[in-house]
Amino acid sequence: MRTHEADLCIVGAGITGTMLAAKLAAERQLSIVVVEAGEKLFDLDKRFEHRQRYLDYRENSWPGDFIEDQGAEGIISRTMAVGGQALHWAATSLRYSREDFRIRSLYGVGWDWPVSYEELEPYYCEAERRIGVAGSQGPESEGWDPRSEPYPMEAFPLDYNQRHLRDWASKADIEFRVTPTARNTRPYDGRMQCMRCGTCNICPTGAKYSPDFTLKTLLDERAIELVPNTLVRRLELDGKGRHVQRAVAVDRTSGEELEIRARAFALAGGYTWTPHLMMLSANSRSPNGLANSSGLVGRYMCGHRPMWALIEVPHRIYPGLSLSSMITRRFMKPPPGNPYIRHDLALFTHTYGRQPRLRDDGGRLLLGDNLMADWRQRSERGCARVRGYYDVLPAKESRVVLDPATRNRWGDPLPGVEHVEHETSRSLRDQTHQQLMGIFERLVARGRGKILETFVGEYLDHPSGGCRMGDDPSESVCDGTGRTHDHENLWIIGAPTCVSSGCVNSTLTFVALSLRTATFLGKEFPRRS
Amino acid sequence: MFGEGSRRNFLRTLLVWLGSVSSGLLPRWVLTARSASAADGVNEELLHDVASVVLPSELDDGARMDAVKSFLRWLRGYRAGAVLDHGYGFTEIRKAAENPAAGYQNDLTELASRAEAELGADFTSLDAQQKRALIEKEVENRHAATKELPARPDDSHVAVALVTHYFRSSEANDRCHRRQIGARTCRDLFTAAEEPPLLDDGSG
Repeated sequence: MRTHEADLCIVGAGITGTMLAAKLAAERQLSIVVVEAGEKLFDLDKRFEHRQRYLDYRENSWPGDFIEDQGAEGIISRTMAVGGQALHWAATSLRYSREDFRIRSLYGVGWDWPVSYEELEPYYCEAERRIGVAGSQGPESEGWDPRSEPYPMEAFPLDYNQRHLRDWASKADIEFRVTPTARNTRPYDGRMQCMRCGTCNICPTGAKYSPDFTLKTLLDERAIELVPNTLVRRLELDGKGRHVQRAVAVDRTSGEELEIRARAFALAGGYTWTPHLMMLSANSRSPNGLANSSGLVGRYMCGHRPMWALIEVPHRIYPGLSLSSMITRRFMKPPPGNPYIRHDLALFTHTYGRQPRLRDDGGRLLLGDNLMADWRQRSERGCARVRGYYDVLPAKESRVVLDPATRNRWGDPLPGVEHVEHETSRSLRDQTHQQLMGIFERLVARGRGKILETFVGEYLDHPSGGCRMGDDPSESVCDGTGRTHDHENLWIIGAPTCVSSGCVNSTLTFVALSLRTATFLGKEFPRRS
Repeated sequence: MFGEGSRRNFLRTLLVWLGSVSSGLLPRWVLTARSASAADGVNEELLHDVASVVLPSELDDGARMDAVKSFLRWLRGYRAGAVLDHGYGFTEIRKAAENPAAGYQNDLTELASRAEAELGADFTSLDAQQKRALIEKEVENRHAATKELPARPDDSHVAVALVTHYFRSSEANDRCHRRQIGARTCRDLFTAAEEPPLLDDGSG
């Protein structure tokens, strides 16, 4: 059996595993092996070609970024590759608000985190530096929590469409700002300025941050060992059951079994695959899986629900101009003691009802000049999408399960994700929707618009949880640093540790948590001189 | 000097090269030769006839030729069975359907035979109104319940596929708005703050 040995084994080469590796490699003396089930797709030179295939044929812009027999019911993405889901991401980089970490104390619902905004804030700054976030800080009165450092890059400029939409929304006394994103507004960290190619899922210039850039640097510097195409199937404990001794894996290409021995193990497989691996690692001493004395591994899966309106606005919108979305945080901060009704609000351009079509409303066939005339007429007024995310508090039954009926080719049961909303959250759902609807109606009334359609997502976006953090080992899987309560050398990284989901995109928070874990995990190793 | 195979290769190379040159710059004999190349099994001459009535008349001959050429290039680049985009929120792994070229040629053949049967003439020799009537009848038959254009050409009628390919393009988007937007091109970041310049075709 092939053996890899290192001081630290990181399972998962997505954005959180990458950040953990980068920080530890820079600050501590240790050897790091990063094991990733998926392929290594370092193909910046092919991105223009992949982008073109995506535009012309809708082909997968990251060929080879998934594993055919490694899927799961209820997951939000099939991506499993070196770089993870942040290969595809739009790079929206928002912080959770101060309130998100204290919702039990402030609103009497859910659970407080064992970490405060103030404790996490320096790691938010570090995350923004490492991935390169362009943004501008809004006023605290508009819900922008204080920050100790400016954004690393100036924000994206408002484009022509956005200027009109911002002015339109301000008639309803709602001030939108450009959403911070990990895309370069100037050359940064060896990557070029955004050229607004309009395909952020496959950024051909590398102006959008994705973890492959960091991993490539780490490999060039020989700071880590990367083992791709290798699926970790279980973790095994030492005789006393307090330490993870080795990871047993399979090389997906050759079918060869291998082991990774390390002093510490960090699981960075995200909200589904991390709890999945812990459950797969059940043994006679831990029959419910590793680090699961609380019975909460795979429980309290959370996320935020989107609700949006498509609104006709009295301005021409040019499709294909837009650089980014805009956001307001003012609805994220109800005063303490008020009902837990809070959400962000983002504003996008949209082409709903403004695309060329084959028939008009009367059913008349449109070809040639008629089609163009119809399209032009409908494009005189634009369309905006106004979207709110609100936190959906999870029930304990919101969970990842092992599904014995569905197995990969190695015979391991695959996971299924079942989101179950906590009754408190269910009881607030109608009121939250009413509040959002009221905002949509105010925008329309003040801005001479028209609601074309509203939509409530039945899925939860930016899912997290499954190994939540806490001070009480009977109510959590790991402590506030990410170290599991049950095993001294087993750490959970990023998304699974979240207690709740806040109401903005979560990746920056996952990264900040990962960097914070790196600080504590790093104390196990000598400082680099 | 050339064997039969070499001459064929030379002519093919010449036609490919000529095919990449903007149509407005080419003499009539070249256009005829290019039509006769019948790329991808799709009768190019008939396709141009269809284009002449389903694309906007504001396109000049060159622009219309370019639209047809782009459609044929798209067909040539089609990869049946290629894995399609999944990304975030779309977990189903789907694959590209069979190449639609054969279906398109069937549609063109059907148009030609209807012209023959109903009007006793070549489709090519019909006037625009007659061509449009025949095409509309076929599209009505096949797409009675279709309101939206597909996102890209699929197994629709060849006329709908050609319309889709053109009207979903960056060029059509510019023409619709009469502005140089260039939705599919990589562009300077900071010029986005300004209203896109007028399209330089006299229509803006």
